[in-house]
Amino acid sequence: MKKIKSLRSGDAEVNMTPMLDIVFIMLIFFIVASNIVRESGLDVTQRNEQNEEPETAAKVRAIYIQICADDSIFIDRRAVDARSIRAKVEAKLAAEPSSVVVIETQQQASTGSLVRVMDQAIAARAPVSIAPQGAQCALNA
Amino acid sequence: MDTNGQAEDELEVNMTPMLDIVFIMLIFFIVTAVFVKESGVEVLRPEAKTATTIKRVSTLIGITGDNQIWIDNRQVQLDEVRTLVSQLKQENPKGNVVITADAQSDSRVVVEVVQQLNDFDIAGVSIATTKGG
Repeated sequence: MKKIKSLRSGDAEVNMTPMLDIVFIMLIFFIVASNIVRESGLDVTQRNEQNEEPETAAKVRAIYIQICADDSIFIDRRAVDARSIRAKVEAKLAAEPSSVVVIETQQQASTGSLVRVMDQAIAARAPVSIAPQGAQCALNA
Repeated sequence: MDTNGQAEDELEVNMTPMLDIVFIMLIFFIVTAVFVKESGVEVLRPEAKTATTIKRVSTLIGITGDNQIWIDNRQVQLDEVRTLVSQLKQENPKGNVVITADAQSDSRVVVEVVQQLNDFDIAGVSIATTKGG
């Protein structure tokens, strides 16, 4: 009994304080580092089309929005003002609730106008995708 | 004397449970930490009202006003983007990719970068914007 008591005495304990200091500093570093970057932006990840059944895919109506090289915007080959896109898309969605918005841009159209069109289409709660091929601009057609 | 010694022993606070919790928190934050690969260029972002906050950003792709593409502090060609991003993605499989494109850049570059990343099944691609507008 006496031996056990002497082993338990305070002198045998390792001093944990320096390790605790380092562990706390690392903890605070990782907490801060994990929150350092907060970007804001628009999601452009394409949904995987292979999972869709062809029958449902055929029924989906597309609203084509074209952006020309001079940043003018066309919906169904009719020129529209940039600020009225949301109302136009909402009206089309009300008529065809399952339709999607497809944005086609000419090569020289600016990213600013692309984002503005996307922004308004998302504000109208439409699913948005960007077409990989450039727009056949309505002006040239 | 005996009772006196016992009282001295119990004066010390038992640190073991706190240490356990601190270690678990430390390991949690190390595992979930995502370190960002900056693009290395500063751009004038377009504005968007519907912009959402993107968490866990791991890679930034910069597209300047004169259509140069920058990843990880160096300029790259369009066809290098997907291999570079998939390499960076292996380091941080759950991190999101953000394209910081200048409002004046050609949409062609942005669309092609997005298309490459989508072809490569890289999830969580966004275009950076500023809120408001």
